[in-house]
Amino acid sequence: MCIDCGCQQANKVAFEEIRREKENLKFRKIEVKTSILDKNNKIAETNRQWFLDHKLLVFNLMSAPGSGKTLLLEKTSTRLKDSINLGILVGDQERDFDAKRLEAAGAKVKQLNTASSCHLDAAMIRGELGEFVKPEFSHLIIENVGNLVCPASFDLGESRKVAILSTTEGEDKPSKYPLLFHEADLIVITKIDLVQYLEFSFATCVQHIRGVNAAAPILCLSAKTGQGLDAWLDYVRLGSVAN
Amino acid sequence: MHELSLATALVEQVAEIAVREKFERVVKIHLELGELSGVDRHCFEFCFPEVCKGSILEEAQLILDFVKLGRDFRIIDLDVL
Ligand SMILES: Nc1nc2c(ncn2[C@@H]2O[C@H](COP(=O)(O)OP(=O)(O)OP(=O)(O)O)[C@@H](O)[C@H]2O)c(=O)[nH]1
Ligand SMILES: [Mg+2]
Repeated sequence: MCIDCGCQQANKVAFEEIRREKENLKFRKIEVKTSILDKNNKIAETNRQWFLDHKLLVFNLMSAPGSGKTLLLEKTSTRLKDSINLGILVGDQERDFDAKRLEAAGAKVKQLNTASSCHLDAAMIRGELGEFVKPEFSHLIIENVGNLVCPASFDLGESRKVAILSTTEGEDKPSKYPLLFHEADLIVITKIDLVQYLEFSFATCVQHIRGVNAAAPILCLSAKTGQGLDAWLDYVRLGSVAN
Repeated sequence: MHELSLATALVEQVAEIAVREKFERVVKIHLELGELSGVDRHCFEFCFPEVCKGSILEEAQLILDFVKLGRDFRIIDLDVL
């Protein structure tokens, strides 16, 4: 071997090949086939069991930022706080503005900040069970981080997923963000008081919803004027649409 | 948007399997990514190598099967040493 002709380099390549071949022989294949969300799903199942054991009806509210989740919950809290034992968990990346608003409406509320994350996950909810979330609550509403994409993938252990769409977002969002609307047990179209200023067609919107979700009931309301609010309050109380 | 946290969850999951199955290094990781899983493929492929740095997945080759209308995002199998 010398340093001039490149034989050293050649040897290095040969050694590397031999090492690879040896390693190849030792490869083991391990079948896994579990979902990457498996860990979250398992925690969600334990949350779900806790909610069942303590007879809590739990809602996971999801929508784009600013659709009106918090205003709807302010009204919900004001109207229901004397008839049900309601707790509210509210998720945002930063700050506690929403919790302050809900507190002012008389709600039992706790703010969760997700920092770098764009959604709530099951472990964050688990951390509140028996702490903020009391066994004697009859209802828990979780306001998820405003986002039409990520929250849909993370089961929290809730009894009902609620997707909210405001008229100012346009009729086509269910087709553009199918997963959230597909998974929803209830779809709320809100800010209907603004329709007079918009080009918004309920028929077109329902078509987009039905394209991704054939069965979920649809409620139309305005959290601002209170129109259609009663049907929503019944849904919260009962967990289903009253006939 | 949550591809980074999924990539992190993936590395954690593989680390748990490594303890159970007693291996030290992953040579190849084979994943299935469903179109409806809510995971953006390009974003995930961008995050994955970053998250793998310093882990047993550092030198692993990533194989992604994209499944039209699929809902799952899961590990199919691992080639390990
Ligand atoms: N006109 C009208 N405005 C509404 C209605 N609901 C909410 N808003 C207004 O919409 C804005 C956003 O409402 P929020 O309740 O903060 O929305 P959010 O979904 O909680 O927002 P994030 O938590 O940031 O995702 C506020 O200015 C509300 O007053 C409604 O039914 N009609
Ligand atoms: Mg809010």
